[in-house]
Amino acid sequence: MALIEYRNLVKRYGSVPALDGISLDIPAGRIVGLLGPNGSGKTTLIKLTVGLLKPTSGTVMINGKEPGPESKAAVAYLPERSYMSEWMSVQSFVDYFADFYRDFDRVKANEMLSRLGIDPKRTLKTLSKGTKEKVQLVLVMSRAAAAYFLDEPIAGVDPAARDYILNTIIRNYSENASVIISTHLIYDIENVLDDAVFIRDGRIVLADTADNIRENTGKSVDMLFREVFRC
Amino acid sequence: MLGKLMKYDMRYMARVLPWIYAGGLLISALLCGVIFLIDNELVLLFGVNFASFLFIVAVEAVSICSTVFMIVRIYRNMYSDEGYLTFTLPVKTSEIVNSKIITGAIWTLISYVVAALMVTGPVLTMIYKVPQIFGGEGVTPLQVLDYIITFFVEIIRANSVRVITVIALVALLAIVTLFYGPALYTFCASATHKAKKARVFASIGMFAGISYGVGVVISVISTIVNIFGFSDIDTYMQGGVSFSSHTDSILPPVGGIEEFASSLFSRQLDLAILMLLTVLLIYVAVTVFSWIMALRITDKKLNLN
Repeated sequence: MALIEYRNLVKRYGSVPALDGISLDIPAGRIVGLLGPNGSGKTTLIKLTVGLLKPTSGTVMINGKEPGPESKAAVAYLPERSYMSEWMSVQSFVDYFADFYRDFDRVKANEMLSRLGIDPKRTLKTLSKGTKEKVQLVLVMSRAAAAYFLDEPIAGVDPAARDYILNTIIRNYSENASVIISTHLIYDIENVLDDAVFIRDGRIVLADTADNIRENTGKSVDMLFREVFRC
Repeated sequence: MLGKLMKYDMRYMARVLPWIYAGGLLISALLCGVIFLIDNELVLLFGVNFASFLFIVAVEAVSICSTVFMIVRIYRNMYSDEGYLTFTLPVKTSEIVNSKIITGAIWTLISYVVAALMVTGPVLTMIYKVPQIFGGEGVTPLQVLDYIITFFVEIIRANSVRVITVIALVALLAIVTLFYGPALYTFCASATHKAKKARVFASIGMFAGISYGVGVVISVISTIVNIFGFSDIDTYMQGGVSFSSHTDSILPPVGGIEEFASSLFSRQLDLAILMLLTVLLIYVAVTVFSWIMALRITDKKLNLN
Protein backbone atom coordinates (compact mmCIF):
# COMPACT_ATOMS: atom_id res chain seq x y z
CA MET A 1 0.00 0.00 0.00
CA ALA A 2 1.30 3.46 -0.91
CA LEU A 3 1.89 5.89 1.92
CA ILE A 4 -0.13 8.55 0.13
CA GLU A 5 -2.80 7.87 -2.47
CA TYR A 6 -4.62 10.40 -4.62
CA ARG A 7 -7.58 9.19 -6.64
CA ASN A 8 -9.34 11.36 -9.24
CA LEU A 9 -8.72 14.37 -7.06
CA VAL A 10 -10.50 17.51 -8.20
CA LYS A 11 -10.41 20.92 -6.57
CA ARG A 12 -12.23 23.93 -7.95
CA TYR A 13 -12.26 27.48 -6.64
CA GLY A 14 -15.70 28.50 -7.79
CA SER A 15 -15.69 27.52 -11.44
CA VAL A 16 -11.89 27.70 -11.75
CA PRO A 17 -10.26 24.27 -11.62
CA ALA A 18 -7.07 24.12 -9.53
CA LEU A 19 -6.67 20.34 -9.70
CA ASP A 20 -8.28 18.31 -12.41
CA GLY A 21 -8.41 14.59 -11.70
CA ILE A 22 -5.09 13.86 -10.00
CA SER A 23 -4.33 10.16 -9.41
CA LEU A 24 -0.96 9.36 -7.88
CA ASP A 25 0.68 7.00 -5.38
CA ILE A 26 3.60 8.07 -3.22
CA PRO A 27 5.37 5.14 -1.56
CA ALA A 28 7.20 5.34 1.78
CA GLY A 29 10.88 6.19 1.95
CA ARG A 30 11.10 8.42 -1.13
CA ILE A 31 12.07 12.03 -1.72
CA VAL A 32 9.59 13.34 -4.25
CA GLY A 33 9.82 16.61 -6.14
CA LEU A 34 6.43 18.13 -6.86
CA LEU A 35 7.49 20.30 -9.76
CA GLY A 36 5.59 22.85 -11.73
CA PRO A 37 5.38 26.56 -12.51
CA ASN A 38 3.54 29.01 -10.28
CA GLY A 39 -0.20 28.37 -10.26
CA SER A 40 0.12 24.80 -11.50
CA GLY A 41 -1.64 23.33 -8.44
CA LYS A 42 1.30 22.17 -6.28
CA THR A 43 0.26 24.09 -3.18
CA THR A 44 -3.39 23.10 -3.62
CA LEU A 45 -2.38 19.43 -3.76
CA ILE A 46 -0.37 19.79 -0.55
CA LYS A 47 -3.13 21.73 1.22
CA LEU A 48 -5.62 19.00 0.33
CA THR A 49 -3.23 16.40 1.75
CA VAL A 50 -2.71 18.18 5.06
CA GLY A 51 -6.39 19.02 5.49
CA LEU A 52 -6.35 22.77 4.88
CA LEU A 53 -8.69 22.40 1.92
CA LYS A 54 -11.55 20.05 1.17
CA PRO A 55 -11.59 18.37 -2.26
CA THR A 56 -14.41 19.09 -4.67
CA SER A 57 -14.33 15.38 -5.54
CA GLY A 58 -11.96 12.45 -5.36
CA THR A 59 -9.98 11.17 -2.40
CA VAL A 60 -6.72 11.66 -0.56
CA MET A 61 -5.54 8.83 1.68
CA ILE A 62 -2.57 8.98 4.03
CA ASN A 63 -1.67 5.60 5.52
CA GLY A 64 -5.11 4.47 4.36
CA LYS A 65 -6.91 7.28 6.16
CA GLU A 66 -8.56 10.47 4.95
CA PRO A 67 -7.05 13.73 6.25
CA GLY A 68 -7.97 13.99 9.92
CA PRO A 69 -6.35 13.91 13.37
CA GLU A 70 -4.64 10.55 12.71
CA SER A 71 -3.17 11.58 9.35
CA LYS A 72 -2.14 14.96 10.74
CA ALA A 73 -0.25 13.19 13.53
CA ALA A 74 1.74 11.38 10.83
CA VAL A 75 2.35 14.31 8.49
CA ALA A 76 4.76 17.20 9.02
CA TYR A 77 3.93 20.30 7.00
CA LEU A 78 6.07 23.29 6.16
CA PRO A 79 4.00 25.95 4.37
CA GLU A 80 5.45 28.63 2.15
CA ARG A 81 4.57 31.25 4.76
CA SER A 82 5.18 31.74 8.47
CA TYR A 83 2.41 30.16 10.52
CA MET A 84 3.83 31.11 13.89
CA SER A 85 2.26 33.70 16.19
CA GLU A 86 4.51 36.72 16.42
CA TRP A 87 3.96 37.17 20.17
CA MET A 88 5.25 33.72 21.09
CA SER A 89 8.87 32.95 21.87
CA VAL A 90 10.88 30.31 20.04
CA GLN A 91 10.86 28.21 23.23
CA SER A 92 7.06 28.50 23.44
CA PHE A 93 6.86 27.04 19.96
CA VAL A 94 9.15 24.17 20.92
CA ASP A 95 6.77 23.53 23.85
CA TYR A 96 3.78 23.90 21.54
CA PHE A 97 5.06 21.27 19.10
CA ALA A 98 6.04 18.98 22.00
CA ASP A 99 2.52 19.37 23.41
CA PHE A 100 0.72 18.43 20.22
CA TYR A 101 3.04 16.09 18.31
CA ARG A 102 4.07 12.84 19.98
CA ASP A 103 6.81 12.35 17.39
CA PHE A 104 8.43 15.72 18.16
CA ASP A 105 12.00 15.50 19.45
CA ARG A 106 12.55 18.43 21.78
CA VAL A 107 16.26 17.67 22.28
CA LYS A 108 16.85 17.58 18.55
CA ALA A 109 15.02 20.88 18.08
CA ASN A 110 17.00 22.59 20.81
CA GLU A 111 20.28 21.28 19.38
CA MET A 112 19.43 22.56 15.91
CA LEU A 113 18.40 25.95 17.29
CA SER A 114 21.59 26.11 19.30
CA ARG A 115 23.70 25.33 16.21
CA LEU A 116 21.95 28.15 14.41
CA GLY A 117 22.66 30.49 17.33
CA ILE A 118 18.96 31.27 17.85
CA ASP A 119 18.10 32.35 21.37
CA PRO A 120 14.97 30.36 22.37
CA LYS A 121 13.82 33.20 24.61
CA ARG A 122 13.38 35.61 21.70
CA THR A 123 9.90 36.25 20.44
CA LEU A 124 9.12 35.66 16.78
CA LYS A 125 8.49 39.35 16.13
CA THR A 126 12.12 40.13 17.00
CA LEU A 127 13.49 37.66 14.44
CA SER A 128 14.28 38.34 10.79
CA LYS A 129 12.20 36.68 8.07
CA GLY A 130 15.03 34.27 7.27
CA THR A 131 15.48 33.27 10.91
CA LYS A 132 11.75 32.67 11.30
CA GLU A 133 11.87 30.36 8.28
CA LYS A 134 14.76 28.49 9.86
CA VAL A 135 12.90 28.13 13.18
CA GLN A 136 9.87 26.78 11.34
CA LEU A 137 12.05 24.33 9.41
CA VAL A 138 13.74 23.18 12.63
CA LEU A 139 10.36 22.55 14.27
CA VAL A 140 9.05 20.59 11.30
CA MET A 141 12.20 18.53 10.80
CA SER A 142 12.40 17.70 14.53
CA ARG A 143 9.40 15.48 14.06
CA ALA A 144 9.73 11.78 13.26
CA ALA A 145 6.83 11.96 10.82
CA ALA A 146 5.79 9.42 8.20
CA ALA A 147 5.62 12.12 5.54
CA TYR A 148 7.01 15.63 5.25
CA PHE A 149 5.27 18.09 2.96
CA LEU A 150 7.53 21.04 2.27
CA ASP A 151 5.90 23.76 0.20
CA GLU A 152 8.48 25.92 -1.60
CA PRO A 153 11.06 25.58 1.20
CA ILE A 154 13.84 27.21 -0.82
CA ALA A 155 11.92 29.94 -2.60
CA GLY A 156 13.07 33.48 -1.92
CA VAL A 157 16.21 32.59 0.06
CA ASP A 158 19.86 33.12 -0.80
CA PRO A 159 22.02 30.19 -2.06
CA ALA A 160 23.73 29.71 1.32
CA ALA A 161 20.38 29.48 3.07
CA ARG A 162 19.18 27.04 0.37
CA ASP A 163 22.12 24.76 1.16
CA TYR A 164 21.34 24.95 4.85
CA ILE A 165 17.65 24.17 4.27
CA LEU A 166 18.33 21.22 1.97
CA ASN A 167 21.00 19.81 4.28
CA THR A 168 18.64 20.13 7.23
CA ILE A 169 15.94 18.25 5.34
CA ILE A 170 18.24 15.48 4.14
CA ARG A 171 19.93 14.97 7.51
CA ASN A 172 16.82 15.01 9.63
CA TYR A 173 13.95 13.25 7.94
CA SER A 174 13.03 9.85 9.33
CA GLU A 175 14.49 6.92 7.44
CA ASN A 176 11.22 5.34 6.29
CA ALA A 177 9.46 8.61 5.70
CA SER A 178 8.63 10.25 2.43
CA VAL A 179 9.57 13.84 1.75
CA ILE A 180 7.48 15.76 -0.75
CA ILE A 181 9.12 19.00 -1.84
CA SER A 182 7.15 21.44 -3.91
CA THR A 183 9.27 23.82 -5.94
CA HIS A 184 10.00 25.31 -9.32
CA LEU A 185 13.72 25.65 -8.48
CA ILE A 186 14.63 22.18 -9.77
CA TYR A 187 18.34 22.74 -10.22
CA ASP A 188 18.89 23.16 -6.49
CA ILE A 189 17.10 20.01 -5.44
CA GLU A 190 17.62 17.63 -8.36
CA ASN A 191 20.48 15.80 -6.66
CA VAL A 192 18.37 14.80 -3.69
CA LEU A 193 15.25 13.69 -5.58
CA ASP A 194 14.25 10.05 -5.91
CA ASP A 195 11.09 10.83 -7.88
CA ALA A 196 9.76 13.75 -9.83
CA VAL A 197 6.15 14.69 -10.50
CA PHE A 198 5.52 17.37 -13.11
CA ILE A 199 2.27 19.18 -12.65
CA ARG A 200 0.66 21.71 -15.00
CA ASP A 201 -2.78 23.31 -14.93
CA GLY A 202 -3.85 20.94 -12.18
CA ARG A 203 -2.88 17.80 -14.08
CA ILE A 204 0.06 15.46 -13.77
CA VAL A 205 2.08 15.49 -16.97
CA LEU A 206 4.89 13.23 -15.77
CA ALA A 207 5.53 11.04 -12.74
CA ASP A 208 8.63 8.89 -12.69
CA THR A 209 11.85 8.26 -10.82
CA ALA A 210 14.60 10.80 -11.37
CA ASP A 211 16.88 8.05 -12.63
CA ASN A 212 14.34 6.88 -15.21
CA ILE A 213 13.83 10.43 -16.42
CA ARG A 214 17.55 10.91 -16.94
CA GLU A 215 17.95 7.49 -18.54
CA ASN A 216 14.95 7.69 -20.84
CA THR A 217 15.32 11.28 -21.98
CA GLY A 218 19.05 11.74 -21.72
CA LYS A 219 18.36 14.98 -19.90
CA SER A 220 18.51 16.11 -16.33
CA VAL A 221 15.20 16.65 -14.52
CA ASP A 222 15.93 20.37 -14.58
CA MET A 223 16.52 20.42 -18.32
CA LEU A 224 13.40 18.39 -19.01
CA PHE A 225 11.38 20.70 -16.74
CA ARG A 226 12.58 23.74 -18.71
CA GLU A 227 11.64 22.00 -21.95
CA VAL A 228 8.20 20.86 -20.79
CA PHE A 229 7.28 24.17 -19.20
CA ARG A 230 8.86 26.50 -21.77
CA CYS A 231 6.72 29.60 -22.23
CA MET B 1 -6.20 17.75 23.12
CA LEU B 2 -9.04 20.17 23.88
CA GLY B 3 -7.31 21.06 27.14
CA LYS B 4 -4.05 21.79 25.32
CA LEU B 5 -5.80 23.98 22.76
CA MET B 6 -7.58 25.84 25.54
CA LYS B 7 -4.30 26.34 27.38
CA TYR B 8 -2.84 28.25 24.43
CA ASP B 9 -6.08 30.15 23.75
CA MET B 10 -6.26 31.20 27.41
CA ARG B 11 -2.61 32.21 27.36
CA TYR B 12 -3.14 34.41 24.30
CA MET B 13 -6.12 36.19 25.85
CA ALA B 14 -4.23 36.59 29.13
CA ARG B 15 -1.71 38.80 27.37
CA VAL B 16 -4.12 41.68 26.91
CA LEU B 17 -7.51 41.21 28.59
CA PRO B 18 -6.27 41.54 32.22
CA TRP B 19 -4.87 44.97 31.29
CA ILE B 20 -8.23 46.04 29.86
CA TYR B 21 -9.95 44.80 33.02
CA ALA B 22 -7.38 46.51 35.24
CA GLY B 23 -8.04 49.78 33.38
CA GLY B 24 -11.79 49.37 33.91
CA LEU B 25 -11.39 48.65 37.61
CA LEU B 26 -9.08 51.67 37.97
CA ILE B 27 -11.75 53.92 36.42
CA SER B 28 -14.30 52.40 38.79
CA ALA B 29 -12.04 53.04 41.79
CA LEU B 30 -11.54 56.65 40.66
CA LEU B 31 -15.31 57.12 40.42
CA CYS B 32 -15.71 55.67 43.93
CA GLY B 33 -13.15 58.20 45.14
CA VAL B 34 -14.95 61.09 43.42
CA ILE B 35 -18.32 60.12 44.93
CA PHE B 36 -16.77 59.60 48.35
CA LEU B 37 -15.07 62.99 48.39
CA ILE B 38 -18.10 65.01 47.25
CA ASP B 39 -19.94 66.79 50.04
CA ASN B 40 -21.89 69.32 48.06
CA GLU B 41 -25.36 68.64 46.65
CA LEU B 42 -24.80 70.68 43.48
CA VAL B 43 -21.40 69.18 42.76
CA LEU B 44 -22.95 65.78 43.36
CA LEU B 45 -25.64 66.40 40.75
CA PHE B 46 -23.26 67.58 38.02
CA GLY B 47 -20.09 65.73 38.99
CA VAL B 48 -21.66 62.33 39.53
CA ASN B 49 -23.84 62.62 36.44
CA PHE B 50 -20.83 63.45 34.30
CA ALA B 51 -18.66 60.79 35.94
CA SER B 52 -21.46 58.25 35.57
CA PHE B 53 -21.65 59.01 31.86
CA LEU B 54 -17.92 58.46 31.49
CA PHE B 55 -18.24 55.36 33.62
CA ILE B 56 -20.93 53.83 31.39
CA VAL B 57 -18.69 54.59 28.40
CA ALA B 58 -15.83 52.83 30.22
CA VAL B 59 -17.95 49.74 31.01
CA GLU B 60 -19.05 49.60 27.36
CA ALA B 61 -15.46 50.11 26.20
CA VAL B 62 -14.24 47.21 28.35
CA SER B 63 -16.96 45.00 26.90
CA ILE B 64 -16.37 46.08 23.28
CA CYS B 65 -12.55 45.85 23.56
CA SER B 66 -12.83 42.33 25.04
CA THR B 67 -15.19 41.23 22.28
CA VAL B 68 -13.12 42.71 19.46
CA PHE B 69 -9.96 41.20 20.94
CA MET B 70 -11.59 37.76 21.08
CA ILE B 71 -12.86 38.06 17.50
CA VAL B 72 -9.40 39.04 16.28
CA ARG B 73 -7.88 36.09 18.17
CA ILE B 74 -10.30 33.66 16.54
CA TYR B 75 -9.76 35.11 13.09
CA ARG B 76 -5.98 35.14 13.38
CA ASN B 77 -5.63 31.73 14.95
CA MET B 78 -8.03 30.01 12.57
CA TYR B 79 -8.19 31.92 9.32
CA SER B 80 -4.98 33.91 8.88
CA ASP B 81 -1.52 32.38 8.32
CA GLU B 82 -1.64 30.91 11.85
CA GLY B 83 -4.51 28.74 10.64
CA TYR B 84 -1.95 26.76 8.63
CA LEU B 85 -0.62 25.48 11.94
CA THR B 86 -3.92 25.33 13.83
CA PHE B 87 -5.66 23.20 11.22
CA THR B 88 -2.71 20.85 10.73
CA LEU B 89 -2.51 19.98 14.42
CA PRO B 90 -3.52 16.37 15.14
CA VAL B 91 -6.84 17.41 16.66
CA LYS B 92 -10.45 17.28 15.49
CA THR B 93 -11.67 20.49 13.91
CA SER B 94 -14.53 20.39 16.42
CA GLU B 95 -11.97 20.61 19.23
CA ILE B 96 -10.50 23.76 17.66
CA VAL B 97 -13.95 25.37 17.50
CA ASN B 98 -14.94 24.17 20.98
CA SER B 99 -11.69 25.47 22.44
CA LYS B 100 -12.38 28.94 21.05
CA ILE B 101 -15.98 28.98 22.31
CA ILE B 102 -15.22 27.59 25.78
CA THR B 103 -12.23 29.90 26.22
CA GLY B 104 -14.37 32.81 25.04
CA ALA B 105 -17.06 31.82 27.56
CA ILE B 106 -14.51 31.73 30.40
CA TRP B 107 -13.24 35.19 29.48
CA THR B 108 -16.81 36.45 29.10
CA LEU B 109 -17.48 35.20 32.65
CA ILE B 110 -14.40 37.06 33.85
CA SER B 111 -15.67 40.15 31.96
CA TYR B 112 -19.01 39.83 33.78
CA VAL B 113 -17.26 39.63 37.14
CA VAL B 114 -15.11 42.65 36.29
CA ALA B 115 -18.14 44.60 35.03
CA ALA B 116 -20.03 43.66 38.21
CA LEU B 117 -17.10 44.83 40.33
CA MET B 118 -16.87 48.01 38.26
CA VAL B 119 -20.54 48.76 38.93
CA THR B 120 -20.71 47.49 42.52
CA GLY B 121 -18.00 49.80 43.85
CA PRO B 122 -19.61 53.10 42.77
CA VAL B 123 -23.12 51.86 43.62
CA LEU B 124 -22.10 50.91 47.16
CA THR B 125 -20.32 54.23 47.54
CA MET B 126 -23.47 56.04 46.35
CA ILE B 127 -25.69 54.07 48.74
CA TYR B 128 -23.34 54.98 51.55
CA LYS B 129 -22.67 58.58 50.60
CA VAL B 130 -25.82 60.05 48.99
CA PRO B 131 -28.14 59.82 52.03
CA GLN B 132 -25.42 61.52 54.09
CA ILE B 133 -25.33 64.49 51.71
CA PHE B 134 -29.09 64.84 52.07
CA GLY B 135 -28.83 64.67 55.84
CA GLY B 136 -29.68 61.02 56.27
CA GLU B 137 -27.68 58.01 57.33
CA GLY B 138 -25.70 56.09 54.75
CA VAL B 139 -26.06 52.36 54.28
CA THR B 140 -22.78 50.53 54.73
CA PRO B 141 -21.66 47.76 52.35
CA LEU B 142 -22.06 45.24 55.19
CA GLN B 143 -25.69 46.27 55.61
CA VAL B 144 -26.24 45.85 51.86
CA LEU B 145 -24.67 42.38 52.00
CA ASP B 146 -26.85 41.49 54.97
CA TYR B 147 -29.88 42.73 53.04
CA ILE B 148 -29.01 40.60 49.97
CA ILE B 149 -28.53 37.49 52.10
CA THR B 150 -31.83 38.08 53.93
CA PHE B 151 -33.58 38.69 50.62
CA PHE B 152 -32.50 35.35 49.19
CA VAL B 153 -33.10 33.49 52.45
CA GLU B 154 -36.66 34.83 52.43
CA ILE B 155 -37.11 33.79 48.82
CA ILE B 156 -36.12 30.25 49.69
CA ARG B 157 -38.36 30.28 52.78
CA ALA B 158 -41.29 31.72 50.87
CA ASN B 159 -40.93 28.91 48.33
CA SER B 160 -42.65 31.05 45.72
CA VAL B 161 -42.66 29.18 42.43
CA ARG B 162 -42.81 32.41 40.46
CA VAL B 163 -39.85 34.08 42.14
CA ILE B 164 -37.74 30.93 42.07
CA THR B 165 -38.61 30.45 38.38
CA VAL B 166 -37.52 34.00 37.60
CA ILE B 167 -34.23 33.49 39.45
CA ALA B 168 -33.63 30.13 37.73
CA LEU B 169 -34.35 31.65 34.31
CA VAL B 170 -32.05 34.59 34.98
CA ALA B 171 -29.30 32.16 36.02
CA LEU B 172 -29.86 30.04 32.89
CA LEU B 173 -29.85 33.13 30.71
CA ALA B 174 -26.57 34.25 32.29
CA ILE B 175 -25.02 30.85 31.51
CA VAL B 176 -26.31 30.87 27.92
CA THR B 177 -25.07 34.40 27.29
CA LEU B 178 -21.56 33.28 28.30
CA PHE B 179 -21.54 31.06 25.21
CA TYR B 180 -23.72 33.26 22.99
CA GLY B 181 -21.01 35.81 22.10
CA PRO B 182 -18.12 33.36 21.57
CA ALA B 183 -20.30 30.97 19.53
CA LEU B 184 -21.66 33.81 17.41
CA TYR B 185 -18.31 35.38 16.62
CA THR B 186 -16.69 32.00 15.94
CA PHE B 187 -19.48 31.43 13.43
CA CYS B 188 -19.04 34.94 11.96
CA ALA B 189 -15.27 34.49 11.59
CA SER B 190 -15.85 31.07 9.98
CA ALA B 191 -18.59 32.31 7.66
CA THR B 192 -16.49 35.22 6.39
CA HIS B 193 -13.16 33.40 6.07
CA LYS B 194 -13.58 32.97 2.33
CA ALA B 195 -14.12 36.71 1.75
CA LYS B 196 -11.50 38.12 -0.62
CA LYS B 197 -10.56 41.07 1.60
CA ALA B 198 -11.28 42.81 4.94
CA ARG B 199 -12.21 39.52 6.54
CA VAL B 200 -11.80 40.77 10.12
CA PHE B 201 -14.08 43.73 9.45
CA ALA B 202 -16.54 41.46 7.68
CA SER B 203 -16.67 39.13 10.70
CA ILE B 204 -17.00 42.02 13.17
CA GLY B 205 -19.68 43.60 10.97
CA MET B 206 -21.60 40.32 10.73
CA PHE B 207 -21.33 39.84 14.50
CA ALA B 208 -22.54 43.38 15.20
CA GLY B 209 -25.37 43.01 12.65
CA ILE B 210 -26.68 39.74 14.08
CA SER B 211 -26.34 41.01 17.67
CA TYR B 212 -28.27 44.15 16.74
CA GLY B 213 -30.91 42.06 14.97
CA VAL B 214 -31.32 39.84 18.04
CA GLY B 215 -31.64 42.98 20.19
CA VAL B 216 -34.34 44.39 17.92
CA VAL B 217 -36.30 41.12 17.95
CA ILE B 218 -36.13 40.97 21.75
CA SER B 219 -37.26 44.62 22.03
CA VAL B 220 -40.22 44.02 19.72
CA ILE B 221 -41.29 40.90 21.62
CA SER B 222 -40.83 42.73 24.93
CA THR B 223 -43.06 45.58 23.76
CA ILE B 224 -45.73 43.18 22.48
CA VAL B 225 -45.69 41.18 25.73
CA ASN B 226 -45.94 44.35 27.80
CA ILE B 227 -48.78 45.84 25.78
CA PHE B 228 -50.87 42.70 25.34
CA GLY B 229 -49.90 41.20 28.68
CA PHE B 230 -51.88 43.80 30.63
CA SER B 231 -55.62 44.18 30.45
CA ASP B 232 -55.53 47.97 30.53
CA ILE B 233 -53.04 50.75 30.09
CA ASP B 234 -53.15 51.77 33.76
CA THR B 235 -51.90 48.37 34.82
CA TYR B 236 -49.28 48.56 32.09
CA MET B 237 -48.12 51.89 33.47
CA GLN B 238 -47.99 50.38 36.95
CA GLY B 239 -45.78 47.68 35.50
CA GLY B 240 -43.11 50.29 35.08
CA VAL B 241 -43.25 51.30 38.71
CA SER B 242 -40.18 50.25 40.61
CA PHE B 243 -40.03 48.52 43.95
CA SER B 244 -39.00 51.77 45.57
CA SER B 245 -42.46 53.30 45.00
CA HIS B 246 -43.80 50.90 47.61
CA THR B 247 -41.29 51.75 50.26
CA ASP B 248 -39.55 54.72 51.74
CA SER B 249 -36.26 52.87 51.88
CA ILE B 250 -33.62 53.26 49.20
CA LEU B 251 -33.60 49.44 48.98
CA PRO B 252 -36.57 47.26 47.94
CA PRO B 253 -38.62 45.62 50.71
CA VAL B 254 -37.21 42.44 52.14
CA GLY B 255 -40.07 41.10 54.17
CA GLY B 256 -43.15 39.33 52.87
CA ILE B 257 -41.77 37.73 49.74
CA GLU B 258 -44.79 35.41 49.60
CA GLU B 259 -47.14 38.36 49.75
CA PHE B 260 -45.00 40.22 47.25
CA ALA B 261 -45.06 37.25 44.87
CA SER B 262 -48.83 36.92 44.95
CA SER B 263 -49.62 40.64 44.99
CA LEU B 264 -49.77 43.21 42.22
CA PHE B 265 -46.38 41.92 41.09
CA SER B 266 -47.57 38.40 40.39
CA ARG B 267 -48.82 39.61 37.02
CA GLN B 268 -45.45 41.25 36.41
CA LEU B 269 -43.64 38.10 37.47
CA ASP B 270 -45.70 36.05 35.03
CA LEU B 271 -44.74 38.47 32.29
CA ALA B 272 -41.14 38.42 33.44
CA ILE B 273 -41.17 34.61 33.19
CA LEU B 274 -42.68 34.80 29.71
CA MET B 275 -40.16 37.40 28.61
CA LEU B 276 -37.22 35.54 30.12
CA LEU B 277 -38.32 32.30 28.47
CA THR B 278 -38.62 34.05 25.11
CA VAL B 279 -35.23 35.74 25.44
CA LEU B 280 -33.69 32.47 26.64
CA LEU B 281 -35.09 30.61 23.65
CA ILE B 282 -33.77 33.24 21.24
CA TYR B 283 -30.30 33.18 22.81
CA VAL B 284 -30.23 29.36 22.92
CA ALA B 285 -31.36 29.17 19.27
CA VAL B 286 -28.72 31.67 18.06
CA THR B 287 -25.98 30.04 20.18
CA VAL B 288 -26.76 26.49 19.04
CA PHE B 289 -27.15 27.56 15.40
CA SER B 290 -23.83 29.48 15.50
CA TRP B 291 -22.02 26.61 17.19
CA ILE B 292 -23.30 24.03 14.69
CA MET B 293 -22.55 26.27 11.71
CA ALA B 294 -19.01 27.02 12.95
CA LEU B 295 -18.39 23.28 13.34
CA ARG B 296 -19.85 22.55 9.92
CA ILE B 297 -17.87 25.26 8.11
CA THR B 298 -14.54 24.22 9.65
CA ASP B 299 -15.22 20.55 9.09
CA LYS B 300 -16.72 20.60 5.59
CA LYS B 301 -16.02 23.97 4.00
CA LEU B 302 -12.58 24.96 5.24
CA ASN B 303 -10.71 26.86 2.55
CA LEU B 304 -7.46 28.44 3.71
CA ASN B 305 -6.03 30.35 0.80
